[in-house]
Amino acid sequence: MNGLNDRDLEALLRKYRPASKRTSSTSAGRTWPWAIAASILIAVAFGLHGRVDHTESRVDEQRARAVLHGLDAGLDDSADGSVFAMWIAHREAVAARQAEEQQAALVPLGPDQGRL
Amino acid sequence: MTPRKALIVAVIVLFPLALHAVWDQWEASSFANEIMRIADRQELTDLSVLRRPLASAEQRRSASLYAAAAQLSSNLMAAEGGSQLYRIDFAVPDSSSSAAVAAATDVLARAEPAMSLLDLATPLDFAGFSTIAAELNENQFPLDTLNLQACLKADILSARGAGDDAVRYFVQAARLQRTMLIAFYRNQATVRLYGSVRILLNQGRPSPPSLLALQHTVEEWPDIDDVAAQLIRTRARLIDDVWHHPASGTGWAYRIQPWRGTDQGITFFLLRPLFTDLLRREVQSFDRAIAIAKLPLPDRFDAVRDFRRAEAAAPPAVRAMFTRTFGFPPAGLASGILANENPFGVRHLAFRRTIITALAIERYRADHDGNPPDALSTLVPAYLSAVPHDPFTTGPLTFRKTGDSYVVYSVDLNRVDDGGELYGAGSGKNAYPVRRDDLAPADIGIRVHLSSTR
Repeated sequence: MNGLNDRDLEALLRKYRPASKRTSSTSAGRTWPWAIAASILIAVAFGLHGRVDHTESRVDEQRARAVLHGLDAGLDDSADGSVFAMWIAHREAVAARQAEEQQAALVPLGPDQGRL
Repeated sequence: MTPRKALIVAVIVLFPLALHAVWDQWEASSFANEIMRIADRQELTDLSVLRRPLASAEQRRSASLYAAAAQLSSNLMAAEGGSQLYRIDFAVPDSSSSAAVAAATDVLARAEPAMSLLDLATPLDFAGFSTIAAELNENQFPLDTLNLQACLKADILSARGAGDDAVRYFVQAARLQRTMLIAFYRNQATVRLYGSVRILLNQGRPSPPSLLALQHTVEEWPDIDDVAAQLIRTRARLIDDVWHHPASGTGWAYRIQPWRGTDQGITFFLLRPLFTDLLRREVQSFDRAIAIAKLPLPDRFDAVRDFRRAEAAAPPAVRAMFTRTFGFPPAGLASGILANENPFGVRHLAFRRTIITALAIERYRADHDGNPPDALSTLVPAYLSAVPHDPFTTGPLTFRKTGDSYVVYSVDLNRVDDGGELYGAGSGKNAYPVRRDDLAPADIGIRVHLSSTR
């Protein structure tokens, strides 16, 4: 190391700086898009799960079981019977909501209205 | 942000969005084309036909009366004590004890307002509920409860030997069937009515004019099985749930809508192309089911069995997963509906024909000192226009006489003559509920004990 002054030493250090530092900098530059993509996926996954809780309660399970029980052809234990019962329960739920919407749309009569 | 970084963002975010938009458009167009194909065949694609305005004041009046009666009846069933009415069978001593009958009579006393409305609606012309009670186009359970109450009223009178009074309620219940477009509810109602006919003929002692009035009323039921029509209507309901566009176009803006009960949100938006694809496949699978439903009897039974086996062997895994998670679209709906609608439809023919034949036999007996005919052909033409065919075979209904009874029956789903092995309400063997295997020994029929009548 004889003959090296401080300036030469600094130049050598700049030339042969540790490889890890350079790698780390490059890696950060390549990772952040993946981090964003991962964040989007996580948000979507949470969104899906959050939605499932609402949708699962739409079909009245109790009514579907009652329909299944009422099938008189021994089809009640089959997959066909289950699909059928779920469908009937679904349509009944749709009809109930339609009736509620109709009721809500009715304008209440005033005290002098509706008299014959 | 450098251009390179901006490009990365664009690729990661915008490219999938663009791909999603193209996929969504492609699936929506395919679905619209599918609906257009159905409409081109002049088959139902939406339920607007059920909401068509009624033509006459009498039709509007009957719709209102039936709807009000059904609402009252449904309210009563929901109240305490209503559900016990389902368990009473006057042919089974355990289920028709004096305490049970007294309790039922008490409940039925509160059903009088509904019965009065039903009585008013019965003779009127009926052409659907339209928008007067649109919910009854889909949920016909309240009509079934009305039927139950009318049948129980008839049973109580029959058990007292007042068959002529009971027939009035029979006519109400039999005419009520015209309001039941959905075979599931109609089947439930018919099974109950059938039990009451058995009780009437064994306990009620109705006069020949009453028998004739009831026979004419049951003869008004269409003598066609409507399995294919039921499937077409079910498919229209499926489409109507999600497609609120004309069937005649493939507009660029047309998309499926979230089915009722779900919100328009990110989940639906992201999965919409997949839902559209699943729905289109489900709608397409109805084509095969409808084609099978149009096959003549009895060949249809084998085709239904093969279709069910094929569906069971290749379960639609993705569809099933979505059904479990989102409750919709229902996987295997066409197969499930066909498997249930076919027995409903064909059994309804058997119910109709055996009731008419038994009533004709009773009228014959009234004219022949209580003796039944030697064969059904004896009833033609004075009591029957022709000997009815068994819808499960190619032959006529079976008629057997023993020393103290006779039985007229159809061989039921197993298509084997089990010697008059009857089941269900009024058979005396098992009260509600009735659950049997398709291939179990069973016949659909009416047995009348000669000693207990005439």
